[in-house]
Amino acid sequence: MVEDFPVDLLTNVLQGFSVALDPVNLLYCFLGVLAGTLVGVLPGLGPLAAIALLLPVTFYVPVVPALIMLAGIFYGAMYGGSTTSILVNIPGEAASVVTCLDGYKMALCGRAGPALGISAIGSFVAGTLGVVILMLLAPPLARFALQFGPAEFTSLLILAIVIVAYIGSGEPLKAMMMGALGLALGLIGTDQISGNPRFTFGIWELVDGVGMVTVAIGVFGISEVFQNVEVIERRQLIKTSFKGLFPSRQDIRDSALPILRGSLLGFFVGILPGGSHIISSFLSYGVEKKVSKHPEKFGQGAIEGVAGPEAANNAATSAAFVPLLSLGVPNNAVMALMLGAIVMHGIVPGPRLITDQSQLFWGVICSMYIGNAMLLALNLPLVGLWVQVLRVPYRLMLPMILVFCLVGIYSINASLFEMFMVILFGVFGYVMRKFDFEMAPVIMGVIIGPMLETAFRQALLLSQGSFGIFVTRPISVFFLLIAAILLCRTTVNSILKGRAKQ
Amino acid sequence: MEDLNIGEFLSGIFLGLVGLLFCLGSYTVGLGSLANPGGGFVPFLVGAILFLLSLIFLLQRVKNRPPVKKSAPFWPEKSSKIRVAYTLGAILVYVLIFEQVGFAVATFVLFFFLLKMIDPIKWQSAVLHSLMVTLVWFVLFQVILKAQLPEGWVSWWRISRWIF
Repeated sequence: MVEDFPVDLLTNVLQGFSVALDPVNLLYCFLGVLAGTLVGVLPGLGPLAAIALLLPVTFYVPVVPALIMLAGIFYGAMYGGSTTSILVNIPGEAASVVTCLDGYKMALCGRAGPALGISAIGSFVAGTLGVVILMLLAPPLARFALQFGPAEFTSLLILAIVIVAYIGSGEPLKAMMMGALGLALGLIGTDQISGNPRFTFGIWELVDGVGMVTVAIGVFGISEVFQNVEVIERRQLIKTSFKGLFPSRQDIRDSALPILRGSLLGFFVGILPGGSHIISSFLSYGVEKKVSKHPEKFGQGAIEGVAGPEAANNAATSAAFVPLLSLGVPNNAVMALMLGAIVMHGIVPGPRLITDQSQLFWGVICSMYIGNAMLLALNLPLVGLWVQVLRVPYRLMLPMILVFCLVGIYSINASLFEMFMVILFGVFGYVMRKFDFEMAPVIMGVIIGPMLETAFRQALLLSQGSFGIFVTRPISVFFLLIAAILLCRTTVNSILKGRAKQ
Repeated sequence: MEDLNIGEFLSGIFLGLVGLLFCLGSYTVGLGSLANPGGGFVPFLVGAILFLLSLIFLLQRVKNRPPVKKSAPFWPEKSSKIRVAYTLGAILVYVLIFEQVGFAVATFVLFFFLLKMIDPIKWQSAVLHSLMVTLVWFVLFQVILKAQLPEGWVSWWRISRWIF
């Protein structure tokens, strides 16, 4: 097995490229990165909402091009997000917040071109490196995961949801409540083992469960629209010329190491569950400031402050695919939606995906490589066009997003009930966000819920009702221990905070 | 002592009630035994966890009372409430008339209404924009994706007969 590994890898990569270079897949890859750049550029519509919106469309497309397109939206949004950070000081999506610090300052000093250039180049290098590491890391991890039984999967899924709640940007207790609510919603519908309906209140549309797409479109699509109509924003663009997009030699010299460091840091942080592409960009900024010979320039337009974080968030995006494709476990809400798309096409996610669906696995990975090249071509010469997109008033986008949400959900089952459900979840998401309840754990819960239930009940059936099965298997114990440590830390932290306040 | 954030507190009560309802509902479904868990077993556990977490949350809020964010009121502007209400009302009406009048007419009406009410523009521009975007969406969903949408008053078949 071990001797065959490099040969296998080469064969698989070649197979992947033949899939990714198929004209239809190339077209979907292009549509994905184009849509990704667009949502990255437009503030108020993040990659999560865009993927949720496009999920119904993927019903009409085979699974490989569907996933290629959805992946393209995710990493494309990371590229596009930096454009708004640099030019208008508004991050298109959360991972680009840190780019505002130095990118916008560079634009104010008339260096918008090099800032945009280095962020595109940094993203390309990091995206490429990320894909290469993903190729090397995911198959061995999947081989390891083949040893997992229901007990290990149960523990891993518990850990995934605990970590998502723990790493989220808000209060961990609130995130855990949202995760539990998501799990509960995911359990509505037919019991997967006995086949009996439950919690359906006699509504036949609920027999198939509360659709993941319905919840996702509601809490990410509709609720974002509500939030955005509250204040009509008039954006101020910096008038700058985009001549000299390519950074100077000195810029490249200054940015080479930050890009490399950002790529590696981003990738390894990105494998961890949670909003890791966001965290990785902040971490990279911190590291660059620390190792820099002139930390005082950070925040005043230092190119390293743009190059490092931009590389980190793109590498983290590739890394997020490692647990999804090798273990079948999503590590953030975007990956949860991707998992939903895989399940929607009748494919069982898990460690067998790499061998059973090798076309899907290698095709998607190789398409990411091609997509990164497309993004470089889309972002550097066409930056002027993306700036024009920023001028599109929100009043025009608002009804378009709403129609896409509502008609998208109707097109799946021709059900008015689901349209009402989308609106209901939209209102719920809007109100709960006002009180700082995050929505990402909800969607994680909805998707993980049925998986967790099946694995948990299978484990109990195997052990004849003994919970010992979860604590006698080493891998399961390991996952549960980490989950327990995180839960304890959260509790201790909140007690300490409470005491400090008193 | 800080003021209690009522909205946040009510959210906690709501989530606690959902957890409790899940626990009660799970009983009717049947919990089964540990060796052979029934359909209500996992929902009961999840409901109980949600209920307990909500209880801890509510107790924490009553005891510690974190500072209320005075800088972030529920409605950022006076007109926010009206705009959100218009949007919500418009999409509810959209869903109600969707199957009766069909996708194209309902979409045109929704666009026109939102363009006039949210951030008003001229009548002519609103009509033009609504027509254009409805056409794009019509082509995308009906012609390219061939989605089964209610045709109502304007069907693709009628339009194609009219054009050709």
